[in-house]
Amino acid sequence: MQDLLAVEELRVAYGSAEAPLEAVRGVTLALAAGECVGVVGESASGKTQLCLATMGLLGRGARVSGRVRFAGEDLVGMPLRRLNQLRGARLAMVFQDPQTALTPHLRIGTQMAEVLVVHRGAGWSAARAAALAMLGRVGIEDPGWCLERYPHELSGGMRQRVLIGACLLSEPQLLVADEPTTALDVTVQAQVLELLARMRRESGMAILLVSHDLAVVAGLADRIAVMYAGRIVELAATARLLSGPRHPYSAALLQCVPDIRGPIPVRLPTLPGQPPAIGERAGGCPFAPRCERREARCLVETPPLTADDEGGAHACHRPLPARAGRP
Amino acid sequence: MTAPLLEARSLRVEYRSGGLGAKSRRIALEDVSLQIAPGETLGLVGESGCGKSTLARALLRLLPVAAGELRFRGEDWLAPRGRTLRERRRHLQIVFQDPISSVDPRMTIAASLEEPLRAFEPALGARERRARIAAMLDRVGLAADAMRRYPHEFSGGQCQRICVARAMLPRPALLVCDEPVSSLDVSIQGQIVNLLADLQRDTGMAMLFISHNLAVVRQLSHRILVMRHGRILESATREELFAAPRHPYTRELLAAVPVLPRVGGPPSAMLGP
Ligand SMILES: Nc1ncnc2c1ncn2[C@@H]1O[C@H](COP(=O)(O)OP(=O)(O)OP(=O)(O)O)[C@@H](O)[C@H]1O
Ligand code: SF4
Ligand SMILES: [Mg+2]
Repeated sequence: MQDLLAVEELRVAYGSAEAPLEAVRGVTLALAAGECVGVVGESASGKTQLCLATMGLLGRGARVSGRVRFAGEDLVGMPLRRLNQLRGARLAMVFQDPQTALTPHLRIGTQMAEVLVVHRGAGWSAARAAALAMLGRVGIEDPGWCLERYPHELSGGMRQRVLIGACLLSEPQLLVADEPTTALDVTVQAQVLELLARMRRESGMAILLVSHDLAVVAGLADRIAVMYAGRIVELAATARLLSGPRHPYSAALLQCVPDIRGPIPVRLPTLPGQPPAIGERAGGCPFAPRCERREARCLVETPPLTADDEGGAHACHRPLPARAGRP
Repeated sequence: MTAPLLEARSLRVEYRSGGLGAKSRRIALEDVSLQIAPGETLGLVGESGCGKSTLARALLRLLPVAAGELRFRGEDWLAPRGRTLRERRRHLQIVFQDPISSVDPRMTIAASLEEPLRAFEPALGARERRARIAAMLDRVGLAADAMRRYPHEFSGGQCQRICVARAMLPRPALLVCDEPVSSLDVSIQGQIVNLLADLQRDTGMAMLFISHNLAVVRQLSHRILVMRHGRILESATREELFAAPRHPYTRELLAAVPVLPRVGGPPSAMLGP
């Protein structure tokens, strides 16, 4: 089957050519039509940069290499006109910060309806009716009231739902969702995730779902990519990643997810240290300073992403044993 | 029961959107009553837009209260204005959700951290201020050289430590944390939560901890309030709330927490060979 999205050896760098600050350092990832791939990883691991590259939305300061093919067309270097045709109609993105993604001086109804008017050639009154219905679907309790508001009059959670609704209006083939539920409480989060799952079932929309919350991603994604310091360090089917992570960082992330059904621990589990800053990514394994499995070679040789025999891949010199092989 | 540190009775807060008259008024908080005892952590959960941040701001006198009573250490906390209000604010500090936008990018960390000390303890000399800042940075787990650096040189988690340091410097009696970990990496969230727990134990301050992360609220809180539509629906000890939630919405909230299917128990990650 042809991939809907194929990211190949994507690199995104800022700064000067002599001292590049590499946000994404060689990411290869494919999504089939209708598939949901989750991307998890710490802040600044390059998740948002990956999303922006997938939308052709990186700023002028970014140096991009590699390929991002959407339905066969390469978005890297694509003329803006063509990009704009794809965006909004077939490709849509929900941003982490809904504040910046909504136009401050336009009423919600106007900005949502605009999507359909511009991309689908709909009339204004039909578009407003569709916007009203969509606000209900994303769990806004008083859609009529909401339609007349300006963005600053809504809470963070409401703004995020409005934004998701605006994206879904044009029924894109691929939705890139960057931390779509981070600003939401759990009941609304559950509603939004259910809505995404339904859109997937009903319209075959593929989703690239980015979150730092493994539990959020786990409920929706077929496969999960774990990113660390600009690279994918592990990629596997969701069940396999959760039950038998091979990369020590994936395993540590899993341990850090508190279990609300269990007894209250004295202290929350943590992973000591912090990810390397963007300028401090020297050679060797970027996780080495925080890794208890580290050996001498980890400090000098960067482990490549290697396919394992369970259909996944990991980038580690001393991976945890495959689940089947464990006592 | 010990006298409450902060007490709210039937608070009401309204937002006006443009025009005059009742139609343009929107009630953000209605009949909210609560007490926070010295040294206590009160958790606050509820759906997006239910008024959690509004409540936090009202308690800190950062927005106008339309009706109700507010008492801090037994005194009328709605009365102070101007200079008195600014001086009293030192006792009630806040840490926000987004650490990076909460610190001035053009100022060194030292300059940012000096601000509250200059404002609230003007009698302190430059050397004493530096000493207090150095000790606080150490307390929140940052190296002393952080003072000379700028916010962009720090990760989100480190920035949140800086915000915690800034809020703690005036030695508040109440620290309000409005979603302090929700923008942080999971591997870092626990570090900040554990830090807040330690600071509270060491200083005896009270905390109002707002989060939609129920696991984190459960970890820190003695009591928990559940809000919806600007009202408090349920108030319970954390043990009661998690074992026997009374309000249907609380039950809905608990049921909506996404859980990891822990196939065969959590893996032992960091074990050696
Ligand atoms: N400046 C404003 N003008 C008008 N209405 C406002 C304003 N700020 C907030 N509101 C309204 O007040 C209510 C409470 O908002 P608030 O931001 O306090 O909620 P919250 O519980 O913190 O939500 P979230 O979890 O999404 O951040 C919402 O209905 C919102 O629409
Ligand atoms: S390569 Fe070495 S340091 Fe890196 S994760 Fe694997 S064991 Fe740890
Ligand atoms: Mg809020």
